[in-house]
Amino acid sequence: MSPDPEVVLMRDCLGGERVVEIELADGLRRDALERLDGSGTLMVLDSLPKPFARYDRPGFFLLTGIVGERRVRFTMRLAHRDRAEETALAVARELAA
Amino acid sequence: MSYFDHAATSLPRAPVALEGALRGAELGNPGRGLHRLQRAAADEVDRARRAVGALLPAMTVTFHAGATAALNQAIAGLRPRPRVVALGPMLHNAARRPARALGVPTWTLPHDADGVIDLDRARAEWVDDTGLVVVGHSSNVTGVGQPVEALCALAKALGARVVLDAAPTAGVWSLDLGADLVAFSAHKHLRALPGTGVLGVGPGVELEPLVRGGVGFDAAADEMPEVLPERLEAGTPNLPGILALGAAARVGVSWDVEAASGALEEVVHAAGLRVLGRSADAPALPVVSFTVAGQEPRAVEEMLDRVFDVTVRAGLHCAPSAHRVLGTERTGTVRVSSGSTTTAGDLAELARALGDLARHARAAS
Ligand SMILES: Cc1ncc(COP(=O)(O)O)c(C=O)c1O
Repeated sequence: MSPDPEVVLMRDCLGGERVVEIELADGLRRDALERLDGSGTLMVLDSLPKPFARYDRPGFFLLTGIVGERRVRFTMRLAHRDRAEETALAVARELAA
Repeated sequence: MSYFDHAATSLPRAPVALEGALRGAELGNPGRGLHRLQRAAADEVDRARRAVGALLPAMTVTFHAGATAALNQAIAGLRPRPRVVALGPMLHNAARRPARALGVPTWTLPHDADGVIDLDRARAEWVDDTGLVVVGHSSNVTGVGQPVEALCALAKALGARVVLDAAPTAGVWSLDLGADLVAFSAHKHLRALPGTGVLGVGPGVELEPLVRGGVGFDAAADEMPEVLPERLEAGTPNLPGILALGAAARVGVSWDVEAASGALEEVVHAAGLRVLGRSADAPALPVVSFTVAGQEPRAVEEMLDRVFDVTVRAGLHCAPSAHRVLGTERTGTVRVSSGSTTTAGDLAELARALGDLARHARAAS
């Protein structure tokens, strides 16, 4: 069993959004991103020098990170900021599954 | 790494400043005592004060814990208290919040779409009883300067004091503009230490100290002394910060800031990105805000940092009123800012990164 994802930073920012950064046990996988809830939009800018991924669930959160790297960032929109940490961890667990 | 966040703090620090800081850390307590270590420390502080004084002709230099502390002292301490306060349109919160906290009516100086003050309209729309004008020398969001000298003349003619926030410009633009009080920090283009600031106090300006305590003389009195700088400098001073600043001010900043500003704006334009608030030819520092269609500024900052190793700053930059002027208060912008240590190589890195990012963002959207 892989270790749990770990919250490494939590910070309030612009307009009341809350940023949670999480260190996954392994590098972020594209197939795991593709399996996330279909209500979000996934964009992988894979022609950049490093493949930057963003998965946007409007009004809920924006997930960003580099495919293959362990650090991912959740920017939790205003209405969900109070549950930022648990939401981010739950999605991070889905990514690790 | 290519560093483009000089508007937040300029790195690397000036070597002479670091040497000054080390010397300051080893000094005794200055004050007005007579033992050798005290005298040596007091001499060093005086020397630093004279060096900084060259930036603020005809003003008394007082040292504080940053531009924020200096601005709070200037705005909250001004006597007589202003009954109405005029605010620059692009203020940083370090100036805006203490002004708003005075609890008196405030009005914003009329301005154009870039936030540059319109002096004719300011004269025509001047609000009676305005006793204080708080203005930033240049915007920390767009780099664009304000017509401070003419504004000071106008304010003086209409009986108002002017507090100038010169945090972004100290060391690179003249501060001899007729303001009554001028505040700046040591860690921006002078490249001395954070946590050190200056308030220049003009002749005849009366200030109530915000911080009271020992000053090294007049110890038997209950009140703070009337004389400057001691009236505003209670407590043991920040010797490393003050000596670092003195050394940095003596050396000065040699930098063609106008060329740097043009070059930085050109890099952002060349990438096809939308530059904000720099449409006129007002003088400007190399601080450029932009947006990338379809990408939140925070995501752009993250991409530049993690993919391209280029450091920039996204958000509201502690200047919400400037973003209201630009219409970007909801999402903020991405801000790039260069400094005197920025190299042609750094600019080339930035140009490559912005070009790549803009191209891929366009293709993906
Ligand atoms: C325009 C402006 N004013 C004031 C300040 C406050 O300076 P400090 O944080 O050094 O107190 C800053 C710093 O970011 C600034 O950019």
